[in-house]
Amino acid sequence: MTKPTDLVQGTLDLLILRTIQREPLHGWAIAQRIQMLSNDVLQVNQGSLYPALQRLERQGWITADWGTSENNRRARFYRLTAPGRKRLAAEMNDWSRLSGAITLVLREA
Amino acid sequence: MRMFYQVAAFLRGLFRSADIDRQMADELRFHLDKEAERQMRFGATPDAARRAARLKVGSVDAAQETSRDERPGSRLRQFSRDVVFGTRLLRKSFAFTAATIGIVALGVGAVTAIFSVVYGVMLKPLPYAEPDRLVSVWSVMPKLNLARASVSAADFMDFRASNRVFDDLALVRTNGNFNLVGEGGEPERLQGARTSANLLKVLGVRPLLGRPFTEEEQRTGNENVALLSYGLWQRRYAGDRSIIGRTIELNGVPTTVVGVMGESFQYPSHDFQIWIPVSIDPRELTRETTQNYQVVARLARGVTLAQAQSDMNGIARRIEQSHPQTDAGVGVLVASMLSDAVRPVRGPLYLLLAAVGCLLAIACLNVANLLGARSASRSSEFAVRLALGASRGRLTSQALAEVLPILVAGGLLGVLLAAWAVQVFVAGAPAGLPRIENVELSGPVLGAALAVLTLSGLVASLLPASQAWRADFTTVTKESSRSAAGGRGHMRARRALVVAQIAFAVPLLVGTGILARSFTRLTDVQPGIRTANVLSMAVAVPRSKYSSDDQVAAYETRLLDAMRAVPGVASVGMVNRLPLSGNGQVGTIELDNDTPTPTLVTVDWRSATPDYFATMSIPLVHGRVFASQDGVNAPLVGVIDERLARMAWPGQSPIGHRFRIPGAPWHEIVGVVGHVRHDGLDADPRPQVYWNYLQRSQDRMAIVVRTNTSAASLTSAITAAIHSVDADQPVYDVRTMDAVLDRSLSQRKLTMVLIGVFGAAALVLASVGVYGVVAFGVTQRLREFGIRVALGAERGAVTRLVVGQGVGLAVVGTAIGLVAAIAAAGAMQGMTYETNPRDPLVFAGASLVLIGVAVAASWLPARRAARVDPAVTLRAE
Repeated sequence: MTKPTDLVQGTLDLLILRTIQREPLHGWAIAQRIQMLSNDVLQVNQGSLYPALQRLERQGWITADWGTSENNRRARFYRLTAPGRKRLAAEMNDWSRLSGAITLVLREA
Repeated sequence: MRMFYQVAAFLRGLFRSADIDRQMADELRFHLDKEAERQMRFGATPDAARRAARLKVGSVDAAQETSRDERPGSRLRQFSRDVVFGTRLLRKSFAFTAATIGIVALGVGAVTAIFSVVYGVMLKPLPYAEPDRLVSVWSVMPKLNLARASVSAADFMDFRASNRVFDDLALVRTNGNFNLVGEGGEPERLQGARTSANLLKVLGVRPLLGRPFTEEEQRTGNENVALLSYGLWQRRYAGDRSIIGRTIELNGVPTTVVGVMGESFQYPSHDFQIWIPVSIDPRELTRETTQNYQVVARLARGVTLAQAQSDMNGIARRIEQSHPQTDAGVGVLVASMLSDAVRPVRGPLYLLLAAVGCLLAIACLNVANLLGARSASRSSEFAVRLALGASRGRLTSQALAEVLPILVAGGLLGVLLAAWAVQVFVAGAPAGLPRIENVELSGPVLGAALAVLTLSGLVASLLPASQAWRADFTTVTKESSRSAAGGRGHMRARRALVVAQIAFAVPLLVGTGILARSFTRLTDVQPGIRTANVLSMAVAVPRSKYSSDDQVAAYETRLLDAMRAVPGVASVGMVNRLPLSGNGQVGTIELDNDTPTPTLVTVDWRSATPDYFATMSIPLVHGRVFASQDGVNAPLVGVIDERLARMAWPGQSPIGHRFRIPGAPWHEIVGVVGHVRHDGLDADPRPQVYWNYLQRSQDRMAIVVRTNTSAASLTSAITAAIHSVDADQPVYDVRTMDAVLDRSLSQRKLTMVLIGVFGAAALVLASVGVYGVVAFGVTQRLREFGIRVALGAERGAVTRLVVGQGVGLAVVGTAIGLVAAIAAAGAMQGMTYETNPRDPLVFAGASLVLIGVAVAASWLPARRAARVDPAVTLRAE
């Protein structure tokens, strides 16, 4: 397993927003999904995850409610707000432009 | 839309921080459990699963801490935690805390109390509409030496007609008797004013109830209406709203009440309780007779005081030209109404403000010193914390947070002290302090107190904050543990603070000395009367009952006879203006002293009864005083004082010569009496002449009674005697002459006492400051002293060394303070009596006192230094 790479704060925010786009998830599920979808490259520990979730909450992009998890335990489920959805679309746009540009430079330089 | 979520999250972070902590703890536990579950699904044992989960998931505490630090209001919460911690630390060192809180309270309280007086009396705007446009208009009579004299009705009419600078002018006459009898209480004499109908309009106020006067009510015959003051309405008529339209008996005349003024209306001063319309005698308008009026005017919008003055100067000159007999040499003065009212007390109030400012500076510096010493002893603690990763900002904010409880407690205590002091002051205030009803802890005063507290806090926290900011791990460990309480720079700062304290103390001590000297010289002055065992009271004879002058004189004789019969009375007299009371009557008389042109002299003139002189112990120098034969139809006589005698007839006896009011009959001089300092002990402008009360009667008289026992004890007996002649006669202003004399001095006395108190407090604080620094220095240099003694130094030399340190501080501080005091001494010029504000004796005395105090304060530490045992100090490290 490769060493987990450190994620820049903004990037983590983008990943979280995308992860909960389809359905509300609790914190652990978010971390799991990110790890799974990235083939274990990106492993988010709770020292970064939960402060990031709270930041996004403060900024109004996500909101959270208490619900029951799959094994009937109480957990806090995070979901996108309407402004959050718009923000996600904008961020994804920015990201593809940015990564595209970097790829171009790396390929040709 | 997003704003909604943001605000909700912000508020939650601010107010429900504990909830968020709990919820986060739950979430983290859940996360950990889920991870452990996952590990177990891969076959790990529960313990191994938990361990692996913890490793993977990372530090819970770090997550919690980051979350907390990023939450809104985290800095505020941190600060409040620091404050709580600081309070706990302070509670442990009770003496230090009590001392610093006490000093802060002293500084803040003193400044607040003085400022409440300064604000209430001088700064608070008058309670009228646009008060900065209100002015007083005076006549100026340089020939009579009067810079502010009352205006005549004729001049007023001219001003009103010809001016181009005022919206309107109003006329007020304040002398007059207002005897009120009837329902509501005892017969009483009110202070009242006769005003023109437009006065309220000029001032821009309306009555609380009823209406102002109309123009018709100014005509003679129609003026039997009155406006009552709020206080009078509440006191005598129980605030009954049906008072409007009712009739009261004022000066024996039925008068209809047309209105009641509001609580804040105190014109011309808070003593005035009733107003009636003024009616001007037509003879005044043709300048045949004159009365004394005051004029208040409202400047037209955009007109400055200077413009108004020059316009009025022009009008005054025209009047002078067209009426040379009556208005020759009469000018006019336009002055802002507020500054006019407070002119006499402005100097002393500013002086007190400056003095309390010095005291505040000393208190702040003292607290700074104390706090600095305390924080210095923690410099190693700061260094360690710095090394462990605390930021300088965090350390500084913590140092400040510990100062905050002291400031808050000191500030609150100070405001309480000020409230008490203001109460005491208002209750026993010196006579004649204008606008004293405004002296209270009002909003602006409390705002000023807060500003003062903040400023003091900033000054006081300078040392601790800079200590925390400059904490350096290496410097601290380099110095020996003994000198843990700060380096050389710190010591220099503390010494500078003490020098500054002493410098500020010098002006206070010098001020006290100068004022004390001035006051002593003043109380040594002979007033020309003896005030011991003399009772005074005033009566105003109602003209409605005793209409002719003869009736007034006869009534007064009956009163005298009744009072003389009271047991314990040695002598009774009457005069129309009581000496030292602040009231007088000034005029010009003509003498018949064989000169080609008539000699005119400005004098105080009085109507007096024959026994007046004996009652007041005014000595008879030549001739005789009045007697019963100098009656109404007898030849007109007069008595003059020795100053006039010396002035007008030097070397000869003035008996037989004559004087008169120009145009009136001559009075023959039958006696010469001693001179009386009538206006006050500190002023002696004019000679005096006396008419016999039978030949020139007055209906306002001050009664003086010399008693065989204490004066005050006969008050009720004398009043009863007066009432036995006329039961409806109001008697007022009952005071012993000793009290009258004290009252004339009270303002100077109060200023001197207050500055003296400040000076004493300053001495105490300065001595504490010197002690602190010197004792500290001794502690630091204990090893050095041990070495000195071991090497053979005499104990006395060590003592001298230490005391010399304290004296050195005092000398430098005193020198600086003296320079400032000499420069500022000129400001006291008008406030001293026959005392040079730069009196070298006082300056020298103040310096010696300060140096002496420094010596005393250095004594204890010096003894400790001298007693040092070299064996002990050299071994200890």
